[in-house]
Amino acid sequence: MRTISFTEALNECLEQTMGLDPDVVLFGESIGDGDGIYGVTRGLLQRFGEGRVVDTPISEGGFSAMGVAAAMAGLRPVVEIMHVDFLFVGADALVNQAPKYHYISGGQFRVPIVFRMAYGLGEFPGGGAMQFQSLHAMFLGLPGLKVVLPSNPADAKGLLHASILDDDPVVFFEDKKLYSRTGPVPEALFTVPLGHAAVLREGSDVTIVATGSRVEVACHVSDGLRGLASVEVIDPRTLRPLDEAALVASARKTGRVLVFDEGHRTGGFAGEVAAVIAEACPEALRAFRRVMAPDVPVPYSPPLATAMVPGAMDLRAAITAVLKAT
Amino acid sequence: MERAVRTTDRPRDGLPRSDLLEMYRLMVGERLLAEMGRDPGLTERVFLVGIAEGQEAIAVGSCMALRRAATRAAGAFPDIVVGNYGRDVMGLSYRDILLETIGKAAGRCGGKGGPIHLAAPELGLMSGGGIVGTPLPLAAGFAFAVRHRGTDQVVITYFGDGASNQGLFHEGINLAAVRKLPVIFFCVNNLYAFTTPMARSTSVRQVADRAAAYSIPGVTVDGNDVLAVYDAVSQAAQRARAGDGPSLIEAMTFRWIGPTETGEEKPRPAHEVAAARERDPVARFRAHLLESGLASAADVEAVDDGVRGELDAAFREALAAPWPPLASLQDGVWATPLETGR
Repeated sequence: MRTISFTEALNECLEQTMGLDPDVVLFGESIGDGDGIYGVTRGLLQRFGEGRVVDTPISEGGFSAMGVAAAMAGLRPVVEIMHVDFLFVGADALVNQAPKYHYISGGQFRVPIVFRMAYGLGEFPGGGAMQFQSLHAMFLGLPGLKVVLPSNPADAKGLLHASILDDDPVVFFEDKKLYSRTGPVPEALFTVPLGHAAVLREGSDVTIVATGSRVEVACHVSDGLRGLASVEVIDPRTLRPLDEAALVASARKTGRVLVFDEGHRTGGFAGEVAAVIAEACPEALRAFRRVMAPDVPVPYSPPLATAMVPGAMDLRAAITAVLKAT
Repeated sequence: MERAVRTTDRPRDGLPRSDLLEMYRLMVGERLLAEMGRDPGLTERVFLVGIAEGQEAIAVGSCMALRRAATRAAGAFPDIVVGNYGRDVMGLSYRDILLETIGKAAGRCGGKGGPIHLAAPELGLMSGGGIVGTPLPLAAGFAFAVRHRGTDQVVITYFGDGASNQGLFHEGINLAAVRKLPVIFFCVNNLYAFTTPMARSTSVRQVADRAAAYSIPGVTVDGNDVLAVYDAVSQAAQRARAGDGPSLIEAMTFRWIGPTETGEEKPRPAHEVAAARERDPVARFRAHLLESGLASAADVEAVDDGVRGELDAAFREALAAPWPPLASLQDGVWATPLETGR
């Protein structure tokens, strides 16, 4: 299979999906001539024209709501928010509007919209407290909204296609550290269904629930410990719907669960994983740890910012610690 | 607070008598709905949001200038209304309005939307959202879809003078203006943002002055003159349908009773309410019909009695209708069912 980058996989998905369905339209800042800040929309304006690739003003509140209404009217908009941080100047559409209309209209409206946005630490110089945040877990508290975090190029393509086809609003998080990563991706369009975790390494001693770019790191750590510890790696791929059965089955098997995620420790994804497991099999759980970002704003200085991202050393230390639990 | 108001030329012709009587019937309906909804004898609170004493010329004058389900040509889609006005005018029955407003199972939204989110897409009635500034960018989005589909529908959206101070006002109008989308931005200026007077919240004398910031037409009309409202919206609709882009219309009016319709909040100053009652839009239009000979006293009385009878029946039916079953609480969160695992 040919190998392409995460960015190219997203781009190819958009191009192929737009080629199939004329109701798929793109809204975002500098996504036309500018190719999108990370190049995901390269070439799409030239192929599909200004009627479908809409370079918006810097109006996150405005064009997000515009997308919601276009979706209610039957289109399938894909809205690019440069960084998750920028969403909050106009979060009304994503928080108040999109997740509600199917329910509050008694099913008269569907809101098939995808909000794509980058999160996490990216390349220096850049970023800082208001461009490098990892806030995906904040969106778990919104019934009606699906939350997707691909961890590799093939999943990026398949999950984005599934998200566009889905009749509910989806917030699609792209870890900035993944854009340049390459991997095998089928050329033909395909879906990775939402709600299905991937077990990437099987193991019996420890379960690592990893997201985004942390998945690859977890796999390396698992491989490096082969012979010393049997480490299972699960990528939930979608935080909502969450493949609870996969998490619970693994927790029952290993009894030790680590959540390896770039979000902040408090109020984050790990809390949900812990709750799911504690409700399903409290008797099986011997140890649980969060291997996550500390509860501090993202600093600018590159060494400080880099230190925020939980890495292989943090993960190995956590594995060593939980293996002591019997 | 008196303000200079430009009143557009009234349509001298083109509006058949039947339409004028229909406008009168709808205005009386809104007046009676508001009054009956506050009847202390009712078992339920009826919170009508966009229907209020003193503002009857707004929805009736504006939506009558649109293409409605009842009057459209075969195959044409009705124009689109985003916001809390015009459900009655666009063709939703009083019964349907009341069922959802009270929160009954048979409401259009199964009681899950309520008056603010009451929608009936086949009549062109879309929700405007629960945030005052949101209808503006939503309207731009519906208009984008109209353009994409290639139909010639027009989108009208209603918001208050208070909403014109939210950032979404700016973002929504700019988005529509830059793409010349077919939107009519209709500001219902009733001089108060909840209880804050406009003079203390708004830097411009008239909200329509803000149209200049987007290079679109802005007009202020007498919002208690149903024909002035009709005329302004007709012109804006014509412009939008022709592909010339959005307009901003500001209609000056006044709610006799505050925005929660229960008088819970600080009441409007008595002298302002008294002055507004002098400009009663329903009485004014009734006088116009009688003076111009378009209707006789008997015609007008027949309309009044007919609407009252219709509303009595609608209230009785809506109040007696069953509440949603509690089992429906979890239904409809997702359009695509959640399936997880393999």
